[in-house]
Formats: sequence, C-alpha cells, structure tokens
Amino acid sequence: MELINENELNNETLNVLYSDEPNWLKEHRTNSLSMFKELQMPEFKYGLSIILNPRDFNLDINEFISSLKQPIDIEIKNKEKIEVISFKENYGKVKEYLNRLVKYNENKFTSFHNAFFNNGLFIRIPENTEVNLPLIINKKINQKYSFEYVVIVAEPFSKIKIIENASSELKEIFRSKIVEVFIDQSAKITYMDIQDFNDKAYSFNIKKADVKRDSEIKWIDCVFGSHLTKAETISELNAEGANVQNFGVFFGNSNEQFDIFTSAIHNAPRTFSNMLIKGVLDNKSKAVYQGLIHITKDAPFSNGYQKEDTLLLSENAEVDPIPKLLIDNNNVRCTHGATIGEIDKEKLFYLMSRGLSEKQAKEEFVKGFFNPVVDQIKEEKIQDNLKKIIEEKLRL
Amino acid sequence: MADLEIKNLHVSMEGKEILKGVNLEINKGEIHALMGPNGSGKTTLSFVIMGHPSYKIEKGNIFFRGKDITEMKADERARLGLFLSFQYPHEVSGVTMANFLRTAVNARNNSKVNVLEFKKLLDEKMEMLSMDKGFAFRYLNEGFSGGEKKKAEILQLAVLNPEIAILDESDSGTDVDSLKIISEGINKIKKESDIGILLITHYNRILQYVKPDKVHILIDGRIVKSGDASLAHEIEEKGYKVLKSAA
Repeated sequence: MELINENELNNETLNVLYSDEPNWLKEHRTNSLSMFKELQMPEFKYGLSIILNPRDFNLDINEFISSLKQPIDIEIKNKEKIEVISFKENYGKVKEYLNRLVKYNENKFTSFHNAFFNNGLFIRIPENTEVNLPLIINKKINQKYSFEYVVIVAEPFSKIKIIENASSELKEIFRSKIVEVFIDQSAKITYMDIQDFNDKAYSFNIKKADVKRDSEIKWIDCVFGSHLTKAETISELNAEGANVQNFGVFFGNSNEQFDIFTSAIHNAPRTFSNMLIKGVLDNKSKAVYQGLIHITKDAPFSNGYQKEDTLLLSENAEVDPIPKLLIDNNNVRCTHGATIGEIDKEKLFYLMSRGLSEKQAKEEFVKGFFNPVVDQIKEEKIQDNLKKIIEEKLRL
Repeated sequence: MADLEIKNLHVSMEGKEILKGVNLEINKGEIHALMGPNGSGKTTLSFVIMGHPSYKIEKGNIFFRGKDITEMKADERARLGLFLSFQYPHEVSGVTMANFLRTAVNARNNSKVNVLEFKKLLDEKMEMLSMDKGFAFRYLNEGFSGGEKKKAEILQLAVLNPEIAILDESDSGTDVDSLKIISEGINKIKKESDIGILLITHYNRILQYVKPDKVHILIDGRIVKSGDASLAHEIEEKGYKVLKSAA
C-alpha cells in the first residue's frame, strides 16, 4: 500500500515553502523529509484481528504547496492571562521544546509532519496562574493539507483547561497534528480535543505529555469522524505523584476507520493513571483500540486502571479492543477491562413504551453511553455541542 | 366500544402458546384488577397490549378507541395514550430521569414542553410520591432499590398522563411504606385525570388501597372468571385451586 504518493516531494518543495525560516529549522525539515522517504508506510494490521484499509491519498504537488502556504483559520478565545503565539512569532522560544517528546523519526507520519508542519502554536501558562475560563481554540481546516504543531508549557502551580475544536467544510483533507505538553510541578492541565471531520478525511494525531511531580494531565479525546484516523495519546508520568486521567470517545459511521492508541507510562513512584474509552460504531465502521499501561521498575506504589467499552449499532461494524498491562514492579495496583455490547432489545422496548421512536431511543442510549466521558467537561456550551454532533452522526 | 378492547387474543412465544383467547374491555375511569398464579400469562398480556416485538399474535385483535392497534409499534401505542408500568423496570445508564422524561413528554404530546414548566410538573409529581428531588438527576433506575424503581414507574405514569395504564405488579418488591405511597399515588392520578387502569397483581395487598371495579382471574392463558372486588377476597381465602379445577 502506498497511501501517500511521495515521489514529488523533495527539498525543492521545502525551499518553496519554508526558505525564510531559521537554519536549524530548515535543517530539521530536511532531515525529517529524508527520514520520511526512508521509512516504510505502516501496515494497518494487528495480529489476526481486523485490518484497516485506507484508500490511497492522491497527493497533487501544486495543491499541496498552495494549501500549505495558506494557514488554517484559527479562532482563540480567553487567552488574556497566558501566552499564546504562533511559532513564527518567536522560533527561539519554541526551539527547546520541539521534538522533545514526539520525535521526527518515530514513524513515517511523524517524519512527514516534521518536514512540512505549517501551523505552529505555542502556549505558555505562567507560574501560579490559574485560568478559570477555558482556552478555546476553534480550527476550521478548509485547506486540503494541514500540519499543526502545538506546544504547551505549564509552569509550576498553573492550571488551565484547553478545548480544541477542529472541523472542516472540505470533504477530502489530510490533517496531521502533533501536541507536546510539558507540565511542571503541581500544575493541572485539561486538554480536550474534538475532531469532527467527514468520512473522506485523513487524520493523524499524536499527543504526548511529560508529567512532573504532583501534576495532572486530563485528556478528553473526541474522535467523531474521518475516513481514517490514527490517534495516539501518550502520558509519561516522570515524577512522584504525577497523574493522568485519560478519557476518550469515538463514534464511527459509514465506512469510517479508527486506529486509536492511548498509553500511560509510569516512570516514578506513586504515580496514577486512569483510562476510560467509550466507542460507538454504526454501519460498516471499524476501530482498533489499544490501551497500554506500563509500570516500570522505578514506579512502586503506583496505580493504573483502564476500561474500554464499545457499543455496536450494526452487525457490520467491527471493533478490536486490545487492553495491555506491562508491569515491571510488584508493588503496584493495576486493573483493566474491555466490554463490547449491543443495545439491549428489552431496554429499547422499555424506552419505546414511553413514546420514544426507535431512533430516539437509540439516541438516548448512545448519549447515555457517552455520558461518563461527556460529563468530564463542565462547560454547558461544549456539552451541548458534543450532544449535537452525536445526534447528527446518529442521523447519518 | 370500550376504550381498550382485547378480542379473542391468542399469543405465542417461540412456538409455545401462552395466551389462549383472552377477552377484556377497559374504559377510562375504571380500575380492573388482573390476578392469577405464576406463569398464567399476566405479564405476557401486559407486554402484548404495549406492543412488545418478541411475542407472536396468532389470532385476535387489540383495539384502542375503536382503532385496531394489533400491529402497532410500542412508541405509537404510547403516543395514543397507553402506558405500561414494568414489573422489572430496566436500568438505562447515563440517561437522567429528568432528561428522559422530558424527551418522553415531548414525544407523547408531539410538541416541546417549556423547560421551566416541565421542571415544575416534575417537582410536583415527585413531591406527590415523596421522592427526593435528587432522583431527577440520577440515571434512569440505575442503582434504585425495588421500591424506588416502582415509585419511578408511577412517577412516569403521572408525568406522561396516559388514557389507559397497565400496572404490572406495582406492588412487588416494595416495602409497606412504598406500597402505601405508590397506592396513594395511583389513586390521586386516577382522581385527577380519570384514567383507566389494569392492575396486575399477585396478592390482595395493594387492592386494600386501590379499589378495583372489576377483578379478573387469568389461569393458563384464559380469563376463567370475572367479578367485583369480592372475587379478590374469595381468591385470598380459597386460593386459585378452586378456579383451576373450573378451568
């Protein structure tokens, strides 16, 4: 499988796009591009289980260049108490963080991303700053290609909620995003990532956090659509008392395919991880979900929990949940579980006996099923928006 | 014609005949008690009246106000004004009682009820059933005790305000306090909106509070005897055995 025809991409492409950038960055892009050419396209195949079959994406070089020259439309709200700048405004500031958590040579998609990223956002929450209103980042991706890089630095004792909403009017887009989050002592970050693309889009999304002493990252990942999504959310608990809350929902319809990976890596004593992923699949959609909790030998007295539930709304939908625990220390507590279910016919009758149509009753189940995750976000507007997206997907 | 009319109803499930020709007529404002031993087909009858898809109607018809509803889906019947209080209400996770009931009220009336108006209605009915206000925000039946579940069913009845309600063992799984509250609730609803009730019960206990106009005895898929309230006392004294031999 080729997925992306890469022959037309070369250093000349980089020159046309990024000639005015500092040398270190140009060099980084060149290295990433040659790595991209070198690395093999991963196979979307997992053991004996289901195989994802993404269509090849026809890359047109002129279209590629013209869309990368045009930054995406970003609206940012409630940034008063913090620093939010684009990479262009201060490359020097970004340099020390870039690629520290997600390396350009990890796989073909990270190298592709590092060669061509064209939207960079740097967010810094100063020490002792508590932001009550959530930072809202609304992205309209109306270019065929978009490579977004986000760096978040939470200084000690800071606290913020960041809500990123990405949607697109276009049908076929190729979207890649890397988020690196650095959370210093006793800081608390919530990062909600809402992705609502249509069923022709390609979405590659890696988020990784370095979680320090007594600090917390709370992820709320919402994957609502794409022809193919490959999403990874990784939390490294690198100091005592670090804590990750990893929530996620996915909802596939038509022929949508999701490859979702979440992991918590416990590298220090008394660290805590909790994962709850809830997925609904309708029609012929497919998902592979892998959850990994790794407790290293340096992490005694740690706790790890993971649970993944999938609700299948159609006989043709497929899911393969793969919960994994890797434990190198005996002095820990760790549990995991996965369930796959359908809507109970007796419960459906119960709701219908109150006057709800079959469709309405299913809608109630699905919303109810997602609720433990949707409830994590207290903003009513965001909750309503999520419910609206869910309702729209159910009507497909 | 009666508001709810069941004519010569034969019903089977997985090839086994359960109801063998049931005839029953219920009007608004009437309370009918349906009694019978375990396995006689009481719950089947309630499910079939409400339109449960797992049962096969072999023969006979169900009419609601002259309209043949035998083939109708459960939600259509509910919107016409039928209601079933379940013997074992289901738990629906993640769906709060208040949100669910509002959706149901809107579906029943085919309009959108004002949020504040609905809250007022719900509060009022919950108070009538001595239910803590917190129930509105709990997930539907999840973690409810037996008595709480049955109260929640009566709450749904009160809010949805149907024409005819079938109450399948609203008295089972409840303690004496809950039973009193449930019975008083049923009586109040009956008084306020003059609904017709088919009260399915195993025991006489609830009939001390909710006085039936008629009592029917269902044995082995047939109504073997109908009479007034005294029939229930007779059953209590002599048991179903006497009637079984008659059947």
